Amino acid sequence: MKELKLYFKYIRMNFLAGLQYKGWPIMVLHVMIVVISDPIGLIFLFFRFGSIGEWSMERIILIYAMAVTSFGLAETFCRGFDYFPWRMIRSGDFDRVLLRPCSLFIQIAGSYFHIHRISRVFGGICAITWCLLRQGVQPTLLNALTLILAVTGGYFAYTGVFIMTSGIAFFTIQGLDWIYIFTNASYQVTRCPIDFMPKVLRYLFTFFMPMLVVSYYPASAVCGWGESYLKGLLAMPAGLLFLMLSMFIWRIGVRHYKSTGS
Amino acid sequence: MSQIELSCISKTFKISQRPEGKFGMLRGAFVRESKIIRALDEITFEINEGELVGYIGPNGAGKSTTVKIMSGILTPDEGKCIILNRIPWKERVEHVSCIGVVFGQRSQLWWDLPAQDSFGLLKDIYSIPYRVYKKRLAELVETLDIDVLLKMPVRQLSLGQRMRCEVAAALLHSPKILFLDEPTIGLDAVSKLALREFLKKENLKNGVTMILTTHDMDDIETLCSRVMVIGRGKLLFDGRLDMLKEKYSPLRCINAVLDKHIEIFSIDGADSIKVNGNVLTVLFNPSKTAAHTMVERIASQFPLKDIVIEEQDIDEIIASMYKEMCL
Repeated sequence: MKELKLYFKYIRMNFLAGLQYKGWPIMVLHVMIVVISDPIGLIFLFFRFGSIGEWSMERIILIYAMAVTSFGLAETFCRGFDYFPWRMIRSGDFDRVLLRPCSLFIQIAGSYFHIHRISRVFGGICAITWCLLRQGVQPTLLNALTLILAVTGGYFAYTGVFIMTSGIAFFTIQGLDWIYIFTNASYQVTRCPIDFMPKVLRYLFTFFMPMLVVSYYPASAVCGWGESYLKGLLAMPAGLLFLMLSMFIWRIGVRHYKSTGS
Repeated sequence: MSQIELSCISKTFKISQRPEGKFGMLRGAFVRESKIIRALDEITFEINEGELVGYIGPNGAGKSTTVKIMSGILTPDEGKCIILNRIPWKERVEHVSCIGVVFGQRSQLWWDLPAQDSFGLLKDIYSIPYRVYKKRLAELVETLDIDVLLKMPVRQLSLGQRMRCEVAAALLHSPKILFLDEPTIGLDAVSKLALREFLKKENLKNGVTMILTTHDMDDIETLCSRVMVIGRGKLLFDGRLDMLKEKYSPLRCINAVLDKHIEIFSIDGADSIKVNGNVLTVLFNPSKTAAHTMVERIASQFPLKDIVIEEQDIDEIIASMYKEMCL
């Protein structure tokens, strides 16, 4: 409980620090434009050609929006981990973190926060709502639960990716561009209809990093595209499992740091 | 019972090097040649409560590594380290709540925010009760004279002002032990004096054990009764400052101002004589020839305008000591 309070204090500090610089409204706008412009090519394509088999525009946007929302949430609340290798290990600020009597997780998760990250979440939620309305989904309790758990699971999964990034960074110090496959690039993949997705990608994003589990399956269950609710509800445990795996890697990283120094 | 106890602490680092030769740079991108460096080699010492210890050594001697091990940031390869009955790297959270660390080259304050906000966060990090915090902060603000600085963003403070805030931040939770890693680096004379004064007071009043690494010998001279010298990972000297002086610089120096220019000449019992215009500098060993005899011998030859007898400059002692040990 104390830790959670501390985390929000950290976030508050970073939030205030961010407001010290006058450019923040522009950054909010900037991310908003990125969120909207990302799928815009897709939207134009669908307007021209209608749907691809069963795959209508709403379907694709829905899956995409779910991934974006979870990514945005993780980014808003745990982006500290993503910046960690660059900002902390190289500069030696991690020593400072080790010198404070509270959880390393809280300190690093709270080490970076910027208001403009929220625009991704906001945009994502708007898009999800719009798609659900277009698909005529019933607002039942089960549907709502599935969706909320899916986004939570997605949040865990993406947080896991960030944590894993910084865990690996202990060994390499820098040069982790390939990890972008699982961060910013991963939700781009969701724009490809799952039926047409290469098997390798499909397996990678189902069984290793459970991105499709937190976006496609719940969406399919809720909208009645053929997947069962059981698969849809797997999102949360899958995300949690991935998060635990990442935390394990992170712990190994911290131990490695302590024994090798900076 | 000693508060800090290190025995046979060793630590090695792997340092990667670029391969030599024409294509060294290119090859370095693929193959790493690494060299193992022994940063600490069986360091052993004990420090009691309330001691103020200076820890000196040339760059890269292992000072910071020792401090990092004592503060629990690094794990040594071998050896035992017990501080306040705890092993620092095993019980990190409990250990760090009893110590304070000031890195002269790094800040623990939030760069964009007033120091006040950072202090507020530290209060929560260390779970200091509100009333204790208020009292302690008032005390620190008064002795460090940082009242007006509290509301300014840290990035706008000068180095001396920031350092005072750093020290306050490190002492906010009333640690029993304070590690200071080059706290006076880059400070002007006034700030240095003020900081030393404060540290001394804090040590006397609250009995805080302090370990100070520095390159500034005046820090050591004014603050520390005990000095430890480290070089190439080995502890070379551990004892009182005057013992260090006696061992490595038994000589005294007479600076005499005469009223006319003179030529160089010899004086019995002098180790070296230098003449610069009408200033005469004589080094001698007081355990062989007493000071009054030396003064008499000089005075019998020339009328003296002014005379000062002093110890050899501590910077020179340390420099010659490093040289003697081939550091």
